[in-house]
Amino acid sequence: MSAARTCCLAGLLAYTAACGDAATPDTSSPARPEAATASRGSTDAVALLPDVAAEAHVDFVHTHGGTGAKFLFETMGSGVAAADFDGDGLPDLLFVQSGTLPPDDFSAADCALAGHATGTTARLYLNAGTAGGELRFRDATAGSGLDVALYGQGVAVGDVDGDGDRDVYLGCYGRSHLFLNDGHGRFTDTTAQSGIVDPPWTTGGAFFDADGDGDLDLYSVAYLDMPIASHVVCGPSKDIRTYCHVDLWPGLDDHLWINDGTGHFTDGSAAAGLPGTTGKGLAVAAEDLDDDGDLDLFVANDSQANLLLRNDGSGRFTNRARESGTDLNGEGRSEACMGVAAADLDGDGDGDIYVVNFQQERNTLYRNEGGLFFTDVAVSSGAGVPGMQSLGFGVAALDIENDGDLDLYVANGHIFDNVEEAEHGATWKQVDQLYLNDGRGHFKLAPGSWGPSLSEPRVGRGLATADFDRDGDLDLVVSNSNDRPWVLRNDAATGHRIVLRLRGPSGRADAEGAVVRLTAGGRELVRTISPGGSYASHMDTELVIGLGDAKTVDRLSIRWPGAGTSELLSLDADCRYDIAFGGEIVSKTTLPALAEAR
Amino acid sequence: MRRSESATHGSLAGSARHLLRLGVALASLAAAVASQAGVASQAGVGPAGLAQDAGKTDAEALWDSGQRQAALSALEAQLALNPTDNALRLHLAQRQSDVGRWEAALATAASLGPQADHLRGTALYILTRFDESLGLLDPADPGQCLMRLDSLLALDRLDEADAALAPAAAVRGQDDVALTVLRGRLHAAHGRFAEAVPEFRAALARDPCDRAALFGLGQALIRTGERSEGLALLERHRALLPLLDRHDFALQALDLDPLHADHHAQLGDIERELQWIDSAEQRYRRAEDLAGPDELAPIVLRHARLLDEDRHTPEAALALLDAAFARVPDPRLAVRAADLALRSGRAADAVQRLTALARSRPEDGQIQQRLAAARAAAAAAAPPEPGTPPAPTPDAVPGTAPGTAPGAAPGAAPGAAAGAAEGTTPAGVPRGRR
Repeated sequence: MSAARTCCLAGLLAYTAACGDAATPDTSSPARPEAATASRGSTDAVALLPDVAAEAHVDFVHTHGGTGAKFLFETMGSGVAAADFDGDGLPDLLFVQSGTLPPDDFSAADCALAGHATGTTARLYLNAGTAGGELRFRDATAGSGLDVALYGQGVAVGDVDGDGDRDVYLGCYGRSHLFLNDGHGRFTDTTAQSGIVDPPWTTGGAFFDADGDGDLDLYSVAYLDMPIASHVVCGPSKDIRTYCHVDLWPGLDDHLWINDGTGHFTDGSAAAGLPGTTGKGLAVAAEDLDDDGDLDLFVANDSQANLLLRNDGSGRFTNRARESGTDLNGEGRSEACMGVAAADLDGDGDGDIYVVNFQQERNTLYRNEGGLFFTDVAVSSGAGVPGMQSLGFGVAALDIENDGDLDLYVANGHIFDNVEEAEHGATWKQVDQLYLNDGRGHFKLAPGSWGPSLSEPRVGRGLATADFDRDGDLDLVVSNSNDRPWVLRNDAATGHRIVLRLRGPSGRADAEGAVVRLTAGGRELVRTISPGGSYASHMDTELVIGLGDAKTVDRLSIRWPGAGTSELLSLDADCRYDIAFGGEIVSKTTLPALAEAR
Repeated sequence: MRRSESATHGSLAGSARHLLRLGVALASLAAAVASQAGVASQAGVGPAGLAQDAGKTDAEALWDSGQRQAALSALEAQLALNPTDNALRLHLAQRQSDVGRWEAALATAASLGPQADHLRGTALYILTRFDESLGLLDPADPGQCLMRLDSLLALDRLDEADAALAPAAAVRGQDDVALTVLRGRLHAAHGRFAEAVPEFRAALARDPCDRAALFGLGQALIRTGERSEGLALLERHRALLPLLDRHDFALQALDLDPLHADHHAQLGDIERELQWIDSAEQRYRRAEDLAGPDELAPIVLRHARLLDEDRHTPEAALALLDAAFARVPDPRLAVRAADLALRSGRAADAVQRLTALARSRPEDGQIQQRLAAARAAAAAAAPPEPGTPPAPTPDAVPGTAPGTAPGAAPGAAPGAAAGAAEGTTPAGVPRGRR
């Protein structure tokens, strides 16, 4: 780092502190990485998480299509998926788009009432690599088969037909859709043949093997039973109109769709014991919360009790939220939960749950105490109180510095586009938050100088992570409502790391539910390929595991879903391993030194 | 007693935060509208002139008359003219905190010295800035000693919380409900669930609706293996929660506008659902005192229902309805009175009331149906002697003196009388989210 750049960074940090962030930024760690330039070769901005959307040719702009009538679905934004859709080994981007009420699903009267007719569709960007050192994407929407009219909200990705590529489910306001991939990023809408008939407002879902038969089932999260015709005007006067409270509409049932292995599904909700789980769901995370070898589910509900669905391994679920202490927050109150991340946040080897909530509510961190009991440690962990100042949607647990612990990134934005009129100090556009972990599950906010998304307010909704530029750290993408997305290149990581691509059984693209335990530098780290999470979004399934100072992984055990555990010893750090189902290393690629990559 | 306990126990921050979430948009919107439109129109000025005029207003008179937002505006205007008046600044900050505007109170008090520490401590605590609040909370203050304990618990500083228990008990008494709940929570935080159980039970014995005790006991029982009882308590907690939340919200509305009759009546409704009957009746009575002619009938109908169904005193309910009808001749009151009379075995009285009502509202089918039922009941109760003429038709019944058999209000819409007899307020325009 040049002296001039160091000076510039110090100035930015001092400025941020002087401006008084909501929570104390952590600028004290000696291990904090140096700043990088926003665009390589440019020196006009310093950031550790520069926005490279424009340079990477990601020109997507989300539109909610609203005309001021304040239909609630307009303000919920939409998600984004990070996954390799064309099989070239590079994670691509799929932005869900809202804006258009499809005439197949809605009457002309409905469309006229809502005023939506923008003709927008989802956008698929294929990763073109980093030729010349710059990350590039190519808009491949046209002809991809994903360019269909729908009012999209959420996305789930998984190889539902077991042919080695990743298929796409789009949860919509209106009819939700399933698209099968031909392996080259071209999709066929198979909704009609798939058997999936979701409720009329589905906010997302997660593909995972619920019943242990080796294929991917789908848990779809449904929100409100809110037909266009049920629209009402809310607000204290005719001059101030707001989006209405969700209490005005009943919730809808989530569904568990059981796959026959070919991408044909039947409704397994009743057999799985799910009736009665009607809620107002906005997010689902799959994680082995009781460490019994199968994926359980946590469903974040808006203004209602959450669900913790314990899987017995055969696909039967029991809601254990109440007795586990996760249905409400630690004060016994339901919150307006928008997004969720499930991962080992305190480094003790089990899966914790982090939920982001409405403004004036803390974010909630449920620490796993074992035995499927959880304690709300939002305040003492430091990950809760800063959430009071913002309204969180997308959330990711990722090791931003590759130092061996999981940090938390939260995409924020209010749902009232006129909240400035209503609430002193509140804003519709909000800055995102990055909570840095001290390794023991205590968090401090990163300062705004880390990147534009932490200092420039937008209306954050969907959030996903992937190592887009293949340098061995996780980058981020945030879908902002009625705005351009953030594509955030991670220049903050300095530690060693190991990257694992774990293949699924019988040719399935990914091993959703696989649990990795590794020992490196005297620490044991546990990471799971956890489907779902965030808000309406899909994270790339490749595991990027920060190792800090450790240059070798002494021991790597992988618990494969339904297939026992494999073990590998003495693996080199700073490599990407492609590992077949069962544990055989298919390929090993040396990662660039991070400083060199920048 | 119950209210004050609930308001000061260890989950105060939670309640306040919940109010922030529930009410901040609504209250702020309402306040904005009030300040920009309602108050301005009351004062006969437009928004532009509001600040200037408000500055001249006696803020305390406005406050006492229930015009809280106008009072705050007036105080703000006065402070703008006298920014170095620290007594005024502190007063404004206190008034802001009185209506839950904690951020604003902190900002107002920012330049003040130690005289604002008490307020600052409470505000920081309610805003969950526990670390900052701890140094300002007074352990000798009955409310703030609980806030200190709750803050220490939230921050997982359990040893300090242990040490703070005895001083808090000296301030509040060993058997104080809120303190008992905090003792239970502290045991639970240490993982001593078996020791937490009796504390929560003791608290619930004194206040069966203490939400923190219900929640804590349910969780502690599950942790000690008493799963079914624990789940049942958590179920009860879940059932109570919306009511208690609504109660908090209604109290906040009352803080903002304490002279608005419907706010008191809403509280009465919630407290009746909570079976806090004495308090609910007081709320209804206060609402009736404050109600204008257009507001009175729905409130009285609810009050009458309490007297009839909870107090089991239909005569008192009838007297209330008749007295109210004398004040406001609303047909809903007469219909309810007739219903009550009929159900109390006074069929002839019911016939008389309904006959009078039917004369002035002959097109109201529901009244006719009630009248027919009342006649049938009257006939069954007292079979006519041979030669006795049949029960009078509506046309044959002379008008009845007010207060004994009230008639319908002139000009009321057909069907309104019977249809609105339940006495709830008309469905309003949905309010802003949270």
